[in-house]
Amino acid sequence: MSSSKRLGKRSARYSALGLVAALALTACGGGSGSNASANNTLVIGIESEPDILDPQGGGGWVTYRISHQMFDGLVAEDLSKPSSEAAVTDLAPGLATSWDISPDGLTYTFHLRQGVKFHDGTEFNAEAVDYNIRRMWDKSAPQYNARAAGNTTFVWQHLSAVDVLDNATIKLTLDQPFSPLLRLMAQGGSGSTGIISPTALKQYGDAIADHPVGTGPFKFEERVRGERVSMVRNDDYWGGAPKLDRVVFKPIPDASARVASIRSGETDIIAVPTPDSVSGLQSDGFEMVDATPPHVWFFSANMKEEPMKNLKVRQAISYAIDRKSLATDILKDTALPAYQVQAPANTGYLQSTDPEYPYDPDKAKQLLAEAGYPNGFTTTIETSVDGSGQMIPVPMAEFIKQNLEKVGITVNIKTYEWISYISHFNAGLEPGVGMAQMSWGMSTPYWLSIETNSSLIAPNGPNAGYYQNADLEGVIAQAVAATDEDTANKYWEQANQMATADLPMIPIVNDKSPYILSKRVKNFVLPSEEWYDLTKVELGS
Amino acid sequence: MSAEIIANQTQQATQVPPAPKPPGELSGEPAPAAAASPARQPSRKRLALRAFARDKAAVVALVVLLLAVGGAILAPLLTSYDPYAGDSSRRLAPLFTPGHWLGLDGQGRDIWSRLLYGGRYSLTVAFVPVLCVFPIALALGLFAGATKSRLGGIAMRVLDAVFAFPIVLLALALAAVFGGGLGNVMMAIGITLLPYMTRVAYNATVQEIGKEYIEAARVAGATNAQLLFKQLMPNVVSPLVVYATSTMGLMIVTASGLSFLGVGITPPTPDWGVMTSDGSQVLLEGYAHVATIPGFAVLVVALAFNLLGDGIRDALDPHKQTS
Repeated sequence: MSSSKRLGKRSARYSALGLVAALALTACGGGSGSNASANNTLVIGIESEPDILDPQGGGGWVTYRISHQMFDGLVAEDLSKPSSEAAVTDLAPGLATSWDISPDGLTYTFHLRQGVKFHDGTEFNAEAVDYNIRRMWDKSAPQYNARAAGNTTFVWQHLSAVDVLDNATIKLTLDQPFSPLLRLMAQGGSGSTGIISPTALKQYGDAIADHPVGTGPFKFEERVRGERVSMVRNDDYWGGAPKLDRVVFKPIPDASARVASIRSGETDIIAVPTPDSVSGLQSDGFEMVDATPPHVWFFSANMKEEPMKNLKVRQAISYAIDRKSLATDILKDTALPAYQVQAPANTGYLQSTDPEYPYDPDKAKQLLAEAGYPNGFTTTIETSVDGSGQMIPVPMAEFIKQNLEKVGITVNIKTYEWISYISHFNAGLEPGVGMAQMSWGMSTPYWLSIETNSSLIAPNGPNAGYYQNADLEGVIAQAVAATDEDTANKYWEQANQMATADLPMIPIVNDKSPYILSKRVKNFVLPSEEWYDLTKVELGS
Repeated sequence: MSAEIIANQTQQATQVPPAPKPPGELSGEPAPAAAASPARQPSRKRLALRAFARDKAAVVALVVLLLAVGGAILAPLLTSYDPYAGDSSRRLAPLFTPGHWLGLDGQGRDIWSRLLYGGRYSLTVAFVPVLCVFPIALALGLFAGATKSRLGGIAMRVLDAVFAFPIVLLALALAAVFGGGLGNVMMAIGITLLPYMTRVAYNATVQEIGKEYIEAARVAGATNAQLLFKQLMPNVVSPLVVYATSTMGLMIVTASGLSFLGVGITPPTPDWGVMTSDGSQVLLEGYAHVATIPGFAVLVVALAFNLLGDGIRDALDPHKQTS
């Protein structure tokens, strides 16, 4: 009797296994997901839960791709051209229709767009701009917000006065010429200078992130954390009303789950598919669009200690990494090999130079021997397991580990979950950690200064590898102080060359940030930027 | 521990109405008493072995586990491929690729080689935490159960508090605190395991201490140490062995889960959980073998540990032994 009872228990266990397997299979097969196609709502599957929807205080690309649809700044970028037509985005009028810069580069006068209303009906004017800039910059203003100020500190660092000249004109005075200002005003990513309705700011205060009110093409509808952020069309948009009724951003952190979601019709667009899914998706009728945004996937070298503070070691590492195979085999051409610190979508990029450190393992071994490490050494590489812009960090790190071990460098990989990794990285590299991986970039070459300036050494800034180079800072200072664009670009190119040769950051690949579109998505353009415009996008049947 | 305590315990216990006689005694099978069996009857050990040998599922499970352990130990003889070195131009090659019968993974590494070497990590994770926790749990359980002292009570209450956390959640939190790596993962899941195993030892102690053979031994003049180690402990060890064996499967699954979530064993270590996690990215892209092979290994080994645990329990149960 007892043995038959046991048999019964066992078969129950087996059938439970079968049930689990069956459930898993049906879950993968995916439901009908007809809600996306039922109406004129665009559903975008994104990589992670966004930060707060305060355009000035919220950080990260994933977040700015959302707030960008609801907010405008004074200066915009032309996002209507794909990378093949514009390798670097052009600046364009935003809420300012034009601006005058004084010959000494110290005053910027912005002429504001007339007749624009915020989503709550408040009139957009110079007072509104003044109110917003003081929120980010003027410590004595009641609306001053430390988080917004912290995230936009690079933009306003040389601002000394804000003057409302009349209802449609505002003047910014700087304490020194600052050539990156306009581009920085058009950037998002670590905070932006998007203009918020002053009425809403007065009403909600710090809770503005839950009630975002801007002038953008879409109006905030609701946010369900972990599930979606939705917005509806702004019929009165100054740039012309969008074609879509609604846009829903849906965080789906797992890349394979995102791919499954577009296959099932739950989403219309997904960010960052797994590289191995792209060819299958394309043959099933999905479209892939990519671009060359200012996006560098790189290692910050620990410049505080041996062996990484030795230039020959950094050069050896750069020679040892087979970036081409990484981009082609592991990433399936969703990225380009990166040999420069600046990305191609940047005016500091050197168009016509050969790679400084092309793949050459023999050269790497020779350099290691010259540096006093003929038998190599052991070091630790840190990266995250996921995260926005991180692509597929673990398989990439594994591949690089194999590259480095071929020239005698033994590598331990240490991984972190994304959110804890950001704070870990920002605290600065720990002793014993040779390199820590990050992916970032901006369309303004000023990004190089943010990454390498000695006043921004971690934990005071993003210079996590403790880099100090007075010569580089000198060249950057000249670029910053230039009052015409050509001079600035000449210095920026020189700065890029110096940093690329000195390797405080070892560039690995430039992400092409692929998006997958379902057949019914029309007119979606991915520009040379980390965010995109949705006003022209249409949905077919 | 004082003699009075055990004496008091047994006295209290004897006041409890006697439990119904197990069916085994009715059919004249040997009683579970630790008292020596008549010499001409087969020894207890032989009876247990015989019962185990008759349990086909348990024998198969044992064979499977021996194969897995053998494969892990003899990995260098069974494959010539380096589990860490890949050929990225041939990545994701399918099953039965010449030279790579289980195919290649996302880095172009031989899956058969990684599976064999991976057994070293996954099986270590199964055995070591359980083996380390076993003596601690046994000592704690015996102490708390036999003495009913305040200290033992406090220890059990503390462990009860740990019970409040789901096992995976606690392991996840601990692994996140300790950081990744094989040693830290084993420590994390060992700590998670402690309350469960101690509870088993404690319950067994409390059950056994009320039985007549303990009273009999005490009356016959057994010392405290004899009572504890000769009489009580063997009967507490058996259920603990059964529990520990069936837990080993769970340990592999938990460790795999931690690796899957990025807080466990770090890539490129060929741990089965890491391998499954790697492969999950291409699971639906036509390369299902990369994740399912190590996943299947986890499933089979975990199941084998469970069946083995069942088998040991039955083999040690005198009512199921026949001469």
